[in-house]
Amino acid sequence: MSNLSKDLTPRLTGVRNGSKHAGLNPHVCVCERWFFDFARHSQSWYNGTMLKIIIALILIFVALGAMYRYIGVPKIYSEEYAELPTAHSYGDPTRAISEISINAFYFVPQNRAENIVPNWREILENNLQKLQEFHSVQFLGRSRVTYRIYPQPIIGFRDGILYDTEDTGGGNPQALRRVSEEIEKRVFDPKGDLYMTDFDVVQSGTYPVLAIMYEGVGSIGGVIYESKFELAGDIAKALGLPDGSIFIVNVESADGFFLVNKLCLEEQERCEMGGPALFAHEFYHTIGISDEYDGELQTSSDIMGSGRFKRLEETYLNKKTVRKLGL
Amino acid sequence: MQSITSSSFFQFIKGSELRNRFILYFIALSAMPVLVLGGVALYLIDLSHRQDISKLEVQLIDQKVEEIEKFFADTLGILELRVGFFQRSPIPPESQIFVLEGLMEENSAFQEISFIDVGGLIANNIPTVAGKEIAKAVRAEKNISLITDATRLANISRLDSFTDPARGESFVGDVYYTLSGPMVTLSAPVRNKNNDIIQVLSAEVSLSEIHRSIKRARIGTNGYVILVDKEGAVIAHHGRGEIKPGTDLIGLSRVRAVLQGEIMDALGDQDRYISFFEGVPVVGAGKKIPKIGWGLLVEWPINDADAVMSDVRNQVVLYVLFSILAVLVLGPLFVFRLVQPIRKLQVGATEIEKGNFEKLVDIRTNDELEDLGSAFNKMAKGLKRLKELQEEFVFIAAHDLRAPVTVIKGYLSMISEDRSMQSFTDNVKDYLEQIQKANQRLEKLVKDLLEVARSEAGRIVVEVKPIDVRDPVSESVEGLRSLAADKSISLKYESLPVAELVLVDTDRLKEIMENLISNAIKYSPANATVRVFHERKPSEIITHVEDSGFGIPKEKQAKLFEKFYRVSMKETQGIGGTGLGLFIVKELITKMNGKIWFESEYGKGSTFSFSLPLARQKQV
Repeated sequence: MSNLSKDLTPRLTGVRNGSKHAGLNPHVCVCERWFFDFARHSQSWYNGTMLKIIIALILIFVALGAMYRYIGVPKIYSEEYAELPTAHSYGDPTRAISEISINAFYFVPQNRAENIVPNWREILENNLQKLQEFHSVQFLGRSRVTYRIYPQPIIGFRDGILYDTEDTGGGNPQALRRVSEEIEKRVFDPKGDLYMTDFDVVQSGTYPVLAIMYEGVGSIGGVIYESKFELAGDIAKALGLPDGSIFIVNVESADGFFLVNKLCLEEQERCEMGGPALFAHEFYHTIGISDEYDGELQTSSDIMGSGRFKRLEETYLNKKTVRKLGL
Repeated sequence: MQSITSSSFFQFIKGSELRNRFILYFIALSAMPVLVLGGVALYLIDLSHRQDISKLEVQLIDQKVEEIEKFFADTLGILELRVGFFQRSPIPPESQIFVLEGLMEENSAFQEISFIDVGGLIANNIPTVAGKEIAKAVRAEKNISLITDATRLANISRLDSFTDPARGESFVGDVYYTLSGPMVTLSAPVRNKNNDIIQVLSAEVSLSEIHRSIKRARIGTNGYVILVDKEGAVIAHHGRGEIKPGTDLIGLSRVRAVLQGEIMDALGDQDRYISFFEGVPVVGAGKKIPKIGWGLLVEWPINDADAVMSDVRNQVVLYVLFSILAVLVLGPLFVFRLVQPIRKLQVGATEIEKGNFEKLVDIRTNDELEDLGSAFNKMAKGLKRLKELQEEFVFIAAHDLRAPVTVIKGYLSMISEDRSMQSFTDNVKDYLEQIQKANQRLEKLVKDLLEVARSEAGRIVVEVKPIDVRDPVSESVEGLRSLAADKSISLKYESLPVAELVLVDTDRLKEIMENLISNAIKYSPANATVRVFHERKPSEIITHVEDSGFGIPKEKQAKLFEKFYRVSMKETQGIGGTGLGLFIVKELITKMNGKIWFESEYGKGSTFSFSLPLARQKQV
């Protein structure tokens, strides 16, 4: 090779040699060359019409995206839903009844044990189920009834006369008082002979109710309040209620209780009124709703008025009543 | 390795400026209108579509309102009895039973219906008791039982369902919810022929017919209707199963608004919302039923209601994308048709610039571009003719100038050889010397012009034969050594060690060397070096003339071998020349099957090199 060739050749290979001298990987150098070559050439794109084309395409796609996203695409609003007040016992917003748990019993005085029918549970459950459905409709889904049935009839310690007393008027309140107190002692007191651990558990936040299918006479229900007074008359006076409407009971397992004689639940036609409507009627006393025997609703189909005479499917709770229940 | 940017794909994408500009215009002219029209169309279609939905929903609501009002009108119409007697007394008991049975059988919505006495009338000589039920028919499942026993009949004198009809107004009670379904109490006065109110007919009416009607109502595939009472409780609804009749919806703002009399027509901003019932976006409308105060709401899931809009939107987007794609694919093809003739003109112009007037452009576009191509070809022909005239002129001028130049040269020679020359004054001698130099330049110009003319006419004659390259080169170097010495330039010749025979015309080679070496001397400053040397290649000898002169700037190197081209720079100002030397050199070397090239760097010097074929190679 002549001197001239020696002089010219390094100009072509200088970069590669230089890279080798610098200890770089030759492939990296090629990549670098590609990159710079690309960058140099592509620079003419950026400066020329190709850049405008790219910008135009970007703008078109942005416009297309905006069109797809916004034009003819409805804005969806969230519907405002005002929380409704909680259902509560009649006229008392402090006692919530969103969840009502019923502990149901079949109570049989000792001398009437032979009257126990084998399908007693079926009778009781049928009435409880209908009450559940009725309650759900009347309370617009804002209060729920759950129940459990004590697994066996409770045979009372005493004969029927000692529960009923000689006066069974007014629905037989004495029977309700005595039967419920006996159930309280025997079932809910850990020392009771019928105490059941599982049955004793009451879920917090629920409104506990004691339901008694009674092998006897009477149908009655009521609310259980704690009071600082010891005499019924004082309590009635404090609450502004008639004297005969208050009874002193020693029941802590429930906030309300009711009693319906089995006969009316079993054979409705043998009662002046009865069946699930009566069962529901007495149940609604446990949340504080009064009878409408004398009120303007007495002749309507309201469950607390004439509705108790009807089939449960035809009765209802009137609007004035449900408003006082927070609905 | 081929670089990315020089790949054909890259070059295709990059394209030409004109092509890209046309594509840009195509995109602007095709995609933009489609986009704008698509957007406008979409907006208008959406507007129309919303109005259609509104019409359908409002139409369904009105239909249901009409059905419900008809239900009440018909039912109350049945209760509004008018007896066929004039006396102001209740209907006889046996007729009441008959009527009640008939009414119960006629209308299955009646669950219970009773005749109630109004006060102040005499029945069987006994004054009637206001509000006292006289006879009642009760539907228990499929049976109708009649009750006439007074102990099982009530006095409803304090209920609105009695007092209103007793005053002559029909009564529609609040909806109440039973396990059998929603019910309502309706009552109306019973009149005699004198229009006196003689009794009241009250009925507990099942709303199951309305319930069924609402359940049947459909809009689109999934749209449904909700009927609420004036308290906001659901009377009937077709939708999510867990919402039972009686469910309180007064908490919903839309239900409240409808019950307050606000008409929602599915055109408002807030009429598209997440449904409480279905939990999906719906377009809703609502209206209060004026006569009974209930509310009707229609909800149509948007995915069903707006299915058409989604299709239209997708189609518009597809059209735009397709048009852009079409422009990008077809644009270059259309543009190629426009750009190709321009490229041909460009190539043609380049050829003309090189002096090739023979190559005509062939454009067949049948339009103005073809006319332009024809005009271009005519222009090329004109230029060719002009060049021929120029060459002819140069040849004639050079040829005609040669004789007087020779004569002048002869006389100057005679004068210089004449003895009387010595008697001339120094001034005259100086003048004569200047005349001689000018005549020499003129003679060279004439010679060069003739050489150029011959070259262009293809009449240069070169007679090659095997010659030792060293001899003519050496002679040329020696001949110019005095010229180099005048500028104190070192002129070196590095001869080959052995004789190398090249196929060359000796005189022409000398001419070439003299041109190159004299150029090297001419364009080098004082005390520069001019080196002549050879390079042996397998089939040729390369001769280099290297100088350390001024060098040639890069931008002025391209036209160096063109005739009459002279590099203009400050260093060469005042240096004479015709600009024909290198042109002739190149022509001569080419004639002798050689090549010439050069490398030069401004400020450092130049190296002119040419190759000549080896004689023995040729002989083989």
